Amino acid sequence: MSAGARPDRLGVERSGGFGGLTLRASVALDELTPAERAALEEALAPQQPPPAPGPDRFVYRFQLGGREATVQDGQVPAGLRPLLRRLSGHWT
Amino acid sequence: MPGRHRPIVPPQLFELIARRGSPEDRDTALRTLSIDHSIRTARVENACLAVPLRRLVTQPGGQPHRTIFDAEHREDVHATTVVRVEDGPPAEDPSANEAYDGLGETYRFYWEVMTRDSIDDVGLPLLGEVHFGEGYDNAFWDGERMMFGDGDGRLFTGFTRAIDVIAHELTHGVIERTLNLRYLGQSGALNESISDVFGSLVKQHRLGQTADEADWLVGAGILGPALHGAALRSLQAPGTAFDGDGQPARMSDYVWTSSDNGGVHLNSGIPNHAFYLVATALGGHAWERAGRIWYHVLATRAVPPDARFHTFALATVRAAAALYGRGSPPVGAVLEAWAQVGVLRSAEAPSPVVPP
Repeated sequence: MSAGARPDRLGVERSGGFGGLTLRASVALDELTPAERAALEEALAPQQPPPAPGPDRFVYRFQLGGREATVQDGQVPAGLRPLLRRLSGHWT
Repeated sequence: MPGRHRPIVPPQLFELIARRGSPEDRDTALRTLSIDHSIRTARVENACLAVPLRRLVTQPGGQPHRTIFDAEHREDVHATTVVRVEDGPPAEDPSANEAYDGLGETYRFYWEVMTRDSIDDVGLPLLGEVHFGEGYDNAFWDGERMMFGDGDGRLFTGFTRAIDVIAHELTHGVIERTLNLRYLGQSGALNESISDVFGSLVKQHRLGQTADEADWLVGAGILGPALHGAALRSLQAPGTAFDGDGQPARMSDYVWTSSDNGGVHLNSGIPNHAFYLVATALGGHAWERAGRIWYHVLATRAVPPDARFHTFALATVRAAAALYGRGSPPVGAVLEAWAQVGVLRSAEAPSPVVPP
Protein backbone atom coordinates (compact mmCIF):
# COMPACT_ATOMS: atom_id res chain seq x y z
CA MET A 1 0.00 0.00 0.00
CA SER A 2 1.63 3.22 -1.11
CA ALA A 3 1.93 6.12 1.27
CA GLY A 4 -0.47 8.14 -0.82
CA ALA A 5 -3.28 5.64 -0.35
CA ARG A 6 -3.03 5.73 3.44
CA PRO A 7 -5.34 8.28 4.95
CA ASP A 8 -2.84 9.19 7.68
CA ARG A 9 0.17 9.87 5.44
CA LEU A 10 0.82 12.35 2.67
CA GLY A 11 2.74 10.88 -0.27
CA VAL A 12 4.76 13.24 -2.42
CA GLU A 13 6.34 12.40 -5.75
CA ARG A 14 8.96 14.63 -7.33
CA SER A 15 9.59 13.93 -11.01
CA GLY A 16 11.22 15.83 -13.85
CA GLY A 17 14.03 18.26 -13.37
CA PHE A 18 17.18 18.13 -15.50
CA GLY A 19 17.93 14.73 -13.97
CA GLY A 20 14.51 13.36 -14.81
CA LEU A 21 14.51 11.28 -11.61
CA THR A 22 11.14 10.21 -10.24
CA LEU A 23 11.54 10.14 -6.45
CA ARG A 24 9.16 9.77 -3.54
CA ALA A 25 8.86 10.82 0.06
CA SER A 26 6.07 10.70 2.60
CA VAL A 27 5.17 12.46 5.79
CA ALA A 28 2.66 11.69 8.55
CA LEU A 29 -0.31 14.02 8.38
CA ASP A 30 0.03 14.90 12.06
CA GLU A 31 3.50 16.27 11.33
CA LEU A 32 2.04 18.96 9.10
CA THR A 33 1.43 22.40 10.56
CA PRO A 34 -2.16 23.72 10.43
CA ALA A 35 -1.08 26.12 7.67
CA GLU A 36 0.35 23.23 5.65
CA ARG A 37 -2.85 21.20 6.17
CA ALA A 38 -4.90 24.11 4.91
CA ALA A 39 -2.65 24.66 1.89
CA LEU A 40 -2.74 20.94 1.13
CA GLU A 41 -6.54 20.81 1.24
CA GLU A 42 -6.67 23.79 -1.09
CA ALA A 43 -4.23 22.16 -3.50
CA LEU A 44 -6.21 18.89 -3.50
CA ALA A 45 -9.47 20.67 -4.38
CA PRO A 46 -10.47 20.51 -8.07
CA GLN A 47 -8.30 22.95 -10.00
CA GLN A 48 -8.22 24.78 -13.26
CA PRO A 49 -5.99 23.01 -15.80
CA PRO A 50 -2.39 23.74 -14.82
CA PRO A 51 -0.30 26.09 -16.98
CA ALA A 52 1.92 24.63 -19.69
CA PRO A 53 4.88 22.86 -18.11
CA GLY A 54 8.29 24.51 -18.41
CA PRO A 55 11.37 22.55 -19.46
CA ASP A 56 13.28 20.78 -16.70
CA ARG A 57 11.02 22.04 -13.93
CA PHE A 58 10.27 19.63 -11.10
CA VAL A 59 6.74 18.24 -11.07
CA TYR A 60 5.31 17.55 -7.61
CA ARG A 61 2.42 15.17 -7.06
CA PHE A 62 0.75 15.27 -3.67
CA GLN A 63 -1.26 12.13 -2.86
CA LEU A 64 -3.58 11.70 0.09
CA GLY A 65 -6.11 8.92 0.48
CA GLY A 66 -6.98 8.58 -3.20
CA ARG A 67 -6.94 12.30 -3.90
CA GLU A 68 -4.03 13.90 -5.67
CA ALA A 69 -2.76 17.21 -6.98
CA THR A 70 -0.01 17.85 -9.51
CA VAL A 71 1.86 21.12 -9.20
CA GLN A 72 4.81 22.40 -11.16
CA ASP A 73 7.82 23.84 -9.36
CA GLY A 74 7.47 27.60 -9.31
CA GLN A 75 3.71 27.28 -8.82
CA VAL A 76 3.75 25.46 -5.49
CA PRO A 77 1.44 27.28 -3.05
CA ALA A 78 3.44 29.29 -0.49
CA GLY A 79 1.89 27.23 2.30
CA LEU A 80 3.41 23.99 0.98
CA ARG A 81 6.92 25.24 0.29
CA PRO A 82 8.17 24.77 3.88
CA LEU A 83 7.05 21.13 3.64
CA LEU A 84 9.03 20.61 0.42
CA ARG A 85 12.08 22.18 2.04
CA ARG A 86 11.73 19.66 4.92
CA LEU A 87 11.61 16.81 2.42
CA SER A 88 14.87 17.94 0.78
CA GLY A 89 17.42 15.22 1.39
CA HIS A 90 14.73 12.57 2.02
CA TRP A 91 13.77 11.76 -1.56
CA THR A 92 14.27 8.13 -2.46
CA MET B 1 -0.57 61.22 -35.41
CA PRO B 2 1.45 60.65 -32.26
CA GLY B 3 5.22 60.58 -32.01
CA ARG B 4 8.03 63.05 -32.17
CA HIS B 5 8.18 63.04 -35.98
CA ARG B 6 4.78 64.65 -36.33
CA PRO B 7 5.11 67.37 -38.98
CA ILE B 8 4.52 70.90 -37.73
CA VAL B 9 2.86 72.00 -40.97
CA PRO B 10 -0.08 69.80 -41.88
CA PRO B 11 0.29 68.10 -45.29
CA GLN B 12 -3.05 69.58 -46.39
CA LEU B 13 -1.50 73.07 -46.34
CA PHE B 14 1.33 71.98 -48.65
CA GLU B 15 -1.23 70.42 -50.97
CA LEU B 16 -3.06 73.74 -51.05
CA ILE B 17 0.19 75.58 -51.85
CA ALA B 18 1.06 73.01 -54.51
CA ARG B 19 -2.26 73.59 -56.20
CA ARG B 20 -2.59 77.36 -55.80
CA GLY B 21 0.84 78.83 -55.00
CA SER B 22 3.45 80.44 -57.26
CA PRO B 23 5.65 78.06 -59.33
CA GLU B 24 8.52 78.30 -56.78
CA ASP B 25 6.20 77.75 -53.84
CA ARG B 26 4.63 74.84 -55.68
CA ASP B 27 8.01 73.19 -56.28
CA THR B 28 8.94 73.59 -52.62
CA ALA B 29 5.60 72.23 -51.47
CA LEU B 30 5.78 69.24 -53.79
CA ARG B 31 9.30 68.43 -52.64
CA THR B 32 8.25 68.70 -49.00
CA LEU B 33 5.24 66.49 -49.55
CA SER B 34 7.41 63.95 -51.33
CA ILE B 35 10.02 63.95 -48.55
CA ASP B 36 7.36 63.71 -45.86
CA HIS B 37 5.71 60.84 -47.69
CA SER B 38 9.00 58.95 -48.01
CA ILE B 39 9.71 59.46 -44.29
CA ARG B 40 6.31 58.07 -43.41
CA THR B 41 6.81 55.18 -45.81
CA ALA B 42 10.23 54.51 -44.31
CA ARG B 43 8.71 54.48 -40.84
CA VAL B 44 6.21 51.82 -41.87
CA GLU B 45 8.96 49.79 -43.53
CA ASN B 46 11.10 50.08 -40.39
CA ALA B 47 8.28 48.67 -38.32
CA CYS B 48 7.92 45.71 -40.68
CA LEU B 49 11.66 45.09 -40.74
CA ALA B 50 12.18 45.58 -37.01
CA VAL B 51 14.11 42.36 -36.47
CA PRO B 52 16.53 42.56 -39.43
CA LEU B 53 17.14 46.25 -38.73
CA ARG B 54 17.89 45.42 -35.11
CA ARG B 55 20.51 43.05 -36.37
CA LEU B 56 22.00 45.81 -38.54
CA VAL B 57 22.01 48.54 -35.95
CA THR B 58 23.34 46.40 -33.11
CA GLN B 59 26.47 44.33 -33.42
CA PRO B 60 26.94 41.96 -36.33
CA GLY B 61 26.92 38.97 -33.96
CA GLY B 62 29.66 36.77 -32.63
CA GLN B 63 29.79 38.35 -29.20
CA PRO B 64 27.76 37.04 -26.23
CA HIS B 65 26.25 39.41 -23.69
CA ARG B 66 26.40 37.54 -20.40
CA THR B 67 25.29 38.53 -16.94
CA ILE B 68 25.56 36.21 -13.96
CA PHE B 69 23.41 36.79 -10.89
CA ASP B 70 23.65 35.28 -7.42
CA ALA B 71 20.26 34.07 -6.13
CA GLU B 72 21.77 33.80 -2.63
CA HIS B 73 19.82 30.57 -2.07
CA ARG B 74 16.40 32.10 -2.64
CA GLU B 75 14.01 30.84 -5.29
CA ASP B 76 11.07 33.20 -5.13
CA VAL B 77 12.07 36.08 -7.42
CA HIS B 78 14.76 36.86 -9.97
CA ALA B 79 17.98 37.77 -8.20
CA THR B 80 19.33 41.30 -8.61
CA THR B 81 22.85 40.78 -7.26
CA VAL B 82 25.17 40.82 -10.29
CA VAL B 83 28.39 38.90 -9.76
CA ARG B 84 29.84 38.91 -13.27
CA VAL B 85 29.25 40.88 -16.46
CA GLU B 86 30.55 40.60 -20.02
CA ASP B 87 34.22 41.56 -20.25
CA GLY B 88 34.24 42.22 -16.50
CA PRO B 89 36.68 40.67 -14.04
CA PRO B 90 36.13 37.08 -12.89
CA ALA B 91 33.94 36.56 -9.85
CA GLU B 92 35.32 35.16 -6.61
CA ASP B 93 32.65 32.49 -6.79
CA PRO B 94 33.67 29.47 -8.94
CA SER B 95 30.01 28.68 -9.75
CA ALA B 96 29.53 32.13 -11.26
CA ASN B 97 32.66 31.71 -13.39
CA GLU B 98 31.62 28.23 -14.50
CA ALA B 99 28.20 29.52 -15.55
CA TYR B 100 29.82 32.47 -17.35
CA ASP B 101 32.28 30.24 -19.19
CA GLY B 102 29.64 27.61 -20.01
CA LEU B 103 27.29 30.19 -21.48
CA GLY B 104 30.21 31.58 -23.49
CA GLU B 105 31.17 28.16 -24.85
CA THR B 106 27.57 27.48 -25.79
CA TYR B 107 27.20 30.87 -27.45
CA ARG B 108 30.44 30.26 -29.37
CA PHE B 109 29.20 26.87 -30.58
CA TYR B 110 25.90 28.22 -31.87
CA TRP B 111 27.65 31.17 -33.54
CA GLU B 112 30.63 29.41 -35.06
CA VAL B 113 28.94 26.18 -36.09
CA MET B 114 25.32 27.14 -36.73
CA THR B 115 25.75 30.92 -37.36
CA ARG B 116 23.10 31.51 -34.73
CA ASP B 117 23.46 34.71 -32.73
CA SER B 118 22.31 33.60 -29.27
CA ILE B 119 18.98 32.10 -28.23
CA ASP B 120 16.82 34.28 -30.48
CA ASP B 121 19.41 34.68 -33.30
CA VAL B 122 19.50 38.44 -32.75
CA GLY B 123 21.88 38.55 -29.82
CA LEU B 124 19.61 37.98 -26.83
CA PRO B 125 21.58 38.64 -23.63
CA LEU B 126 22.39 35.45 -21.73
CA LEU B 127 21.35 35.62 -18.10
CA GLY B 128 22.44 32.98 -15.60
CA GLU B 129 21.51 32.73 -11.95
CA VAL B 130 23.66 30.62 -9.63
CA HIS B 131 22.96 29.35 -6.09
CA PHE B 132 19.26 29.09 -6.85
CA GLY B 133 17.42 27.72 -3.80
CA GLU B 134 18.76 25.75 -0.88
CA GLY B 135 20.34 22.42 -1.71
CA TYR B 136 18.36 22.73 -4.91
CA ASP B 137 18.68 19.61 -7.10
CA ASN B 138 18.05 21.18 -10.46
CA ALA B 139 18.94 23.52 -13.30
CA PHE B 140 16.36 24.91 -15.69
CA TRP B 141 15.54 27.60 -18.27
CA ASP B 142 12.68 29.75 -17.00
CA GLY B 143 12.01 31.55 -20.28
CA GLU B 144 14.34 34.43 -19.37
CA ARG B 145 17.24 33.07 -17.36
CA MET B 146 19.19 29.88 -16.80
CA MET B 147 18.85 28.89 -13.17
CA PHE B 148 21.42 26.70 -11.45
CA GLY B 149 20.96 25.02 -8.08
CA ASP B 150 23.83 23.79 -5.93
CA GLY B 151 22.48 20.25 -5.49
CA ASP B 152 21.76 18.67 -2.13
CA GLY B 153 25.18 16.99 -2.07
CA ARG B 154 23.52 13.59 -1.97
CA LEU B 155 21.87 13.24 -5.40
CA PHE B 156 23.65 16.10 -7.15
CA THR B 157 26.76 18.12 -6.39
CA GLY B 158 25.97 21.22 -8.46
CA PHE B 159 25.04 22.00 -12.04
CA THR B 160 27.44 24.66 -13.31
CA ARG B 161 30.52 22.48 -13.64
CA ALA B 162 29.12 20.45 -16.54
CA ILE B 163 29.20 22.26 -19.89
CA ASP B 164 26.58 19.91 -21.33
CA VAL B 165 24.13 20.88 -18.56
CA ILE B 166 24.56 24.56 -19.37
CA ALA B 167 24.28 23.95 -23.11
CA HIS B 168 21.21 21.74 -22.50
CA GLU B 169 19.47 24.58 -20.66
CA LEU B 170 20.40 27.23 -23.22
CA THR B 171 19.12 24.93 -25.97
CA HIS B 172 15.72 24.83 -24.25
CA GLY B 173 15.70 28.57 -24.97
CA VAL B 174 16.63 27.98 -28.62
CA ILE B 175 13.85 25.39 -28.94
CA GLU B 176 11.38 27.80 -27.37
CA ARG B 177 12.26 30.40 -30.04
CA THR B 178 12.13 27.93 -32.94
CA LEU B 179 9.99 24.78 -32.75
CA ASN B 180 8.43 25.65 -29.37
CA LEU B 181 7.81 21.95 -28.76
CA ARG B 182 5.09 21.31 -26.20
CA TYR B 183 6.69 19.87 -23.07
CA LEU B 184 4.51 16.81 -22.80
CA GLY B 185 4.63 13.27 -24.17
CA GLN B 186 6.47 12.74 -27.45
CA SER B 187 6.90 16.44 -28.29
CA GLY B 188 8.24 16.92 -24.76
CA ALA B 189 10.66 14.01 -25.20
CA LEU B 190 11.83 15.60 -28.48
CA ASN B 191 12.34 18.88 -26.62
CA GLU B 192 14.47 17.02 -24.06
CA SER B 193 16.34 15.05 -26.70
CA ILE B 194 17.28 18.12 -28.75
CA SER B 195 18.63 19.72 -25.57
CA ASP B 196 20.68 16.59 -24.82
CA VAL B 197 21.93 16.41 -28.42
CA PHE B 198 23.15 20.02 -28.50
CA GLY B 199 24.42 19.75 -24.93
CA SER B 200 26.56 16.83 -26.12
CA LEU B 201 27.66 18.66 -29.28
CA VAL B 202 28.79 21.72 -27.32
CA LYS B 203 30.81 19.45 -25.04
CA GLN B 204 32.35 17.58 -27.98
CA HIS B 205 33.07 20.86 -29.78
CA ARG B 206 34.92 22.20 -26.75
CA LEU B 207 36.91 18.99 -26.42
CA GLY B 208 37.51 18.73 -30.17
CA GLN B 209 36.23 15.16 -30.17
CA THR B 210 34.98 13.11 -33.08
CA ALA B 211 31.83 10.99 -32.79
CA ASP B 212 33.99 7.94 -32.09
CA GLU B 213 36.05 9.66 -29.40
CA ALA B 214 33.11 11.21 -27.51
CA ASP B 215 31.62 9.57 -24.39
CA TRP B 216 28.07 10.61 -25.42
CA LEU B 217 27.19 11.07 -21.73
CA VAL B 218 24.99 13.85 -20.38
CA GLY B 219 25.56 15.14 -16.87
CA ALA B 220 28.88 13.43 -16.16
CA GLY B 221 30.50 14.87 -13.04
CA ILE B 222 27.42 16.18 -11.26
CA LEU B 223 26.15 12.99 -9.62
CA GLY B 224 26.29 12.78 -5.84
CA PRO B 225 27.09 9.69 -3.75
CA ALA B 226 23.47 8.44 -3.73
CA LEU B 227 23.51 7.94 -7.51
CA HIS B 228 25.79 5.23 -8.81
CA GLY B 229 27.00 5.66 -12.35
CA ALA B 230 28.92 7.77 -14.81
CA ALA B 231 26.23 10.25 -15.77
CA LEU B 232 22.49 10.83 -16.07
CA ARG B 233 21.96 9.83 -19.67
CA SER B 234 23.84 8.08 -22.43
CA LEU B 235 23.06 8.74 -26.08
CA GLN B 236 25.21 5.78 -27.05
CA ALA B 237 23.50 3.31 -24.73
CA PRO B 238 20.31 4.75 -23.22
CA GLY B 239 19.39 3.06 -19.94
CA THR B 240 22.98 2.44 -18.83
CA ALA B 241 24.21 5.82 -17.54
CA PHE B 242 23.52 5.06 -13.84
CA ASP B 243 21.84 2.44 -11.65
CA GLY B 244 18.18 3.20 -12.13
CA ASP B 245 18.50 4.78 -15.58
CA GLY B 246 15.21 3.79 -17.22
CA GLN B 247 15.70 5.31 -20.66
CA PRO B 248 14.55 3.23 -23.62
CA ALA B 249 16.54 3.16 -26.86
CA ARG B 250 13.76 1.80 -29.06
CA MET B 251 10.15 2.71 -29.78
CA SER B 252 8.97 -0.73 -28.64
CA ASP B 253 10.22 0.14 -25.13
CA TYR B 254 8.47 3.56 -25.01
CA VAL B 255 7.57 4.30 -21.38
CA TRP B 256 3.98 5.27 -20.63
CA THR B 257 3.83 7.24 -17.39
CA SER B 258 2.06 10.26 -15.97
CA SER B 259 5.19 11.37 -14.09
CA ASP B 260 7.67 13.86 -15.57
CA ASN B 261 5.13 15.24 -18.07
CA GLY B 262 4.76 11.83 -19.64
CA GLY B 263 8.31 10.61 -19.14
CA VAL B 264 9.97 13.30 -21.25
CA HIS B 265 13.38 12.55 -19.70
CA LEU B 266 12.93 8.82 -20.27
CA ASN B 267 11.58 8.64 -23.81
CA SER B 268 14.12 11.19 -25.02
CA GLY B 269 16.42 8.14 -25.08
CA ILE B 270 14.83 7.05 -28.37
CA PRO B 271 15.57 10.18 -30.46
CA ASN B 272 18.85 10.58 -28.54
CA HIS B 273 20.00 7.19 -29.73
CA ALA B 274 18.86 7.93 -33.29
CA PHE B 275 21.10 10.99 -33.29
CA TYR B 276 24.02 8.96 -31.94
CA LEU B 277 23.52 6.39 -34.72
CA VAL B 278 23.50 9.10 -37.41
CA ALA B 279 26.60 10.79 -35.97
CA THR B 280 28.63 7.60 -35.69
CA ALA B 281 27.52 6.35 -39.11
CA LEU B 282 28.71 9.59 -40.71
CA GLY B 283 31.88 9.77 -38.59
CA GLY B 284 34.05 12.81 -37.95
CA HIS B 285 32.84 15.66 -35.81
CA ALA B 286 29.19 15.08 -34.95
CA TRP B 287 28.36 18.78 -35.18
CA GLU B 288 29.51 19.02 -38.78
CA ARG B 289 26.84 16.91 -40.43
CA ALA B 290 24.50 15.15 -37.96
CA GLY B 291 24.28 18.32 -35.85
CA ARG B 292 23.67 20.48 -38.89
CA ILE B 293 20.83 18.22 -40.03
CA TRP B 294 19.13 18.41 -36.61
CA TYR B 295 19.69 22.16 -36.43
CA HIS B 296 18.18 22.63 -39.89
CA VAL B 297 14.89 21.23 -38.54
CA LEU B 298 14.96 23.88 -35.79
CA ALA B 299 16.08 26.80 -37.95
CA THR B 300 13.46 26.12 -40.62
CA ARG B 301 10.78 25.36 -38.02
CA ALA B 302 10.08 22.19 -39.91
CA VAL B 303 7.74 20.54 -37.38
CA PRO B 304 4.76 21.82 -35.35
CA PRO B 305 4.81 22.26 -31.53
CA ASP B 306 2.95 18.99 -30.98
CA ALA B 307 5.25 16.95 -33.26
CA ARG B 308 5.65 13.27 -32.51
CA PHE B 309 8.82 11.23 -33.08
CA HIS B 310 7.66 10.10 -36.53
CA THR B 311 7.03 13.67 -37.71
CA PHE B 312 10.41 14.79 -36.43
CA ALA B 313 12.16 11.80 -38.01
CA LEU B 314 10.71 12.61 -41.43
CA ALA B 315 11.76 16.25 -40.98
CA THR B 316 15.37 15.16 -40.34
CA VAL B 317 15.26 13.08 -43.52
CA ARG B 318 14.05 16.10 -45.48
CA ALA B 319 16.69 18.28 -43.81
CA ALA B 320 19.43 15.83 -44.78
CA ALA B 321 18.11 15.80 -48.36
CA ALA B 322 17.98 19.59 -48.48
CA LEU B 323 21.54 19.94 -47.16
CA TYR B 324 23.28 17.03 -48.85
CA GLY B 325 21.09 15.85 -51.71
CA ARG B 326 18.37 13.24 -51.96
CA GLY B 327 20.49 10.20 -52.60
CA SER B 328 23.32 11.29 -50.32
CA PRO B 329 24.92 9.16 -47.57
CA PRO B 330 23.55 11.45 -44.80
CA VAL B 331 19.99 10.77 -46.00
CA GLY B 332 20.68 7.03 -45.86
CA ALA B 333 22.24 7.32 -42.40
CA VAL B 334 19.27 9.25 -41.05
CA LEU B 335 16.74 6.78 -42.48
CA GLU B 336 18.70 3.83 -41.14
CA ALA B 337 19.04 5.36 -37.65
CA TRP B 338 15.32 6.04 -37.26
CA ALA B 339 14.57 2.55 -38.56
CA GLN B 340 16.95 1.04 -35.99
CA VAL B 341 15.18 2.76 -33.10
CA GLY B 342 11.83 1.69 -34.52
CA VAL B 343 10.45 5.13 -35.38
CA LEU B 344 10.55 4.75 -39.16
CA ARG B 345 10.01 1.44 -40.90
CA SER B 346 12.81 0.31 -43.14
CA ALA B 347 10.21 0.26 -45.91
CA GLU B 348 9.81 4.00 -45.47
CA ALA B 349 13.14 4.20 -47.19
CA PRO B 350 14.41 6.77 -49.63
CA SER B 351 12.06 8.41 -52.04
CA PRO B 352 8.52 8.19 -50.61
CA VAL B 353 9.34 10.19 -47.49
CA VAL B 354 11.19 12.97 -49.29
CA PRO B 355 8.59 15.23 -50.84
CA PRO B 356 9.42 16.78 -54.21
